[in-house]
Amino acid sequence: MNINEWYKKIVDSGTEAPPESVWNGVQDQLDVDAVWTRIDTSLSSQVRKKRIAAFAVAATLFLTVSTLGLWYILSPDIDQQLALQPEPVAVESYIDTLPESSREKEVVTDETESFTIPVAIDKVHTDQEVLAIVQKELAEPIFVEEIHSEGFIESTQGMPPLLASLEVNKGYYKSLSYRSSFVRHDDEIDHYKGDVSAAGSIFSTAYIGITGQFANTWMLNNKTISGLKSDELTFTDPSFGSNFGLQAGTGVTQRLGLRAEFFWMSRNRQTYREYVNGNFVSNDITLDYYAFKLLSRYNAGSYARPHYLLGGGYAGFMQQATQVIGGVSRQVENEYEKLDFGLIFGYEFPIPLAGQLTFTPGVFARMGLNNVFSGTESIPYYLNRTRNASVSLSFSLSYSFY
Amino acid sequence: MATELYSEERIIEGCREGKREYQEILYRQYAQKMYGICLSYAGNRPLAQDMLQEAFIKVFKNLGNFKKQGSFEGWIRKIVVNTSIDMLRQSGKEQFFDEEYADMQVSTGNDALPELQLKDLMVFIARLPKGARMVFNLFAVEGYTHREIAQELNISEGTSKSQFNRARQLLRDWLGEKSN
Repeated sequence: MNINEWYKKIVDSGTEAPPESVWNGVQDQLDVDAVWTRIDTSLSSQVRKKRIAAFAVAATLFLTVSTLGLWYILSPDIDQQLALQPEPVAVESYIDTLPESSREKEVVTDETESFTIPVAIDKVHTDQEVLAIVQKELAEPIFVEEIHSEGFIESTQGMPPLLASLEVNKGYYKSLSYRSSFVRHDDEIDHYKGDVSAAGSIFSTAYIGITGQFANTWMLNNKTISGLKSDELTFTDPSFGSNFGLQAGTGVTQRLGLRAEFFWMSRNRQTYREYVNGNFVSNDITLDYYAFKLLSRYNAGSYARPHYLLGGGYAGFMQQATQVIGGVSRQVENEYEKLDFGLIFGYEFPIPLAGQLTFTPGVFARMGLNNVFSGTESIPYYLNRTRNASVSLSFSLSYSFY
Repeated sequence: MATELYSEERIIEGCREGKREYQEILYRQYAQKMYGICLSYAGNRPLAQDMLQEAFIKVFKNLGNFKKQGSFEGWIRKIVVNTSIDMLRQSGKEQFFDEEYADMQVSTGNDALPELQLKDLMVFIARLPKGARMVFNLFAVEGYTHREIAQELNISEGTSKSQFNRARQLLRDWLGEKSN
């Protein structure tokens, strides 16, 4: 055996084992590489998720607004129906054909005259339906320039079910006015009943109900805002909470009303994913409040299709505050203020159900006005100013007394 | 986990998936032999351990590049040798290759050679100049030709031959001293 072979044999013999520290060092480096790969992948996926979420929200909002807008625009109304009417009938010849007993003829001016058509009906109708009834009564298609539903209040005693008044002007019907003394299951029409003196006053309408909300909640502070950026190591996750409560409301004017709400559960949450003591964990903060809300409600739509815009304020009183980090829970009431207050804005669309019941879905936005973070031993309150906020879907079931 | 329960392909696949148990199987299967190679380059154990650690990190990082065009052991061995040479070069600033011995002629006789353990051979390896050590290992252990060694180490063929001869002569001299 020459020296080359002798040397190679010894070197390749593998008779000396490396110390375990070598394998430990290899593992440490592999772990570091794995963590950085995971972080890099997570950051990339967070960017993608945020983009997808942003597109989804934008698409949802666009579809919602478009659908509501199209529905509102395309809903048949009196103006559209009038536009389909045939050519106006010459008044003189047409009125002469009406039965004398079915109308009163009253000369208003030289150019206008009006007559009344009492129509027997069994319930209140919309403008569109009244027009159809009058048309039927006259047995001829008519063209009416304006339709008025008279909002004065009269006693139901001795009044015909429906009184339609046609005002004619020269060669066409100028306007149709009608009044009804029937009560609808709609708090905007409720004030039609009763004395004139009671028209439009508080408590002329009243309702109570239960309400539930599913909210996307936020605790707005620097940490939450930073966590929305893709290049941060702390991630802000969408957080949700549910609220349950009671409501009671009354009308103030024909369009304006007041509502008070009490929530026995009003939750605000915020969830993060972040590194804590070297571990990547979930950090969830939950604040539970009793909440009182006072809202004004304005009907921006019509009596037939009300659309309510609501605005007002709330005050919340803390029940409990909990923080869960990596599955470990702790109470943090001493880190947050007992009182939270702020503003609320919302939209509702009532859907009459059977009898006096109304189902009302809606959307609300809430913004706290005060800093709810009271500070810890290491973080003073002014370094982590936090406001509660939320956007929620609301569902209410109410009972109208009158 | 016993290594014989898993085929080489399964172990490689498991390592590519980042599974620690397969990585440990692979390490324990080849580490001892590769450690000997590192010792032959390093000349001391601390540097040899660093070489071995660095080499296996490269093995796990580059498993995706193994194309099964040769033996897996041969692929690992090449990484170990290249890593050892790189780290040996980085370990000192002295010039590795001394042209002074270019014309040395060395006896090629096959004298009886003692039975030595690696730990015993380490004593001689440590005494070899680094340049001669590298060339001798590449020629005698890895089977490189002087031309290949010259390309690998960016030296001339003549330098490779002279360094090899120097290493061999020194080993013979030391072995002769030892037997005496």
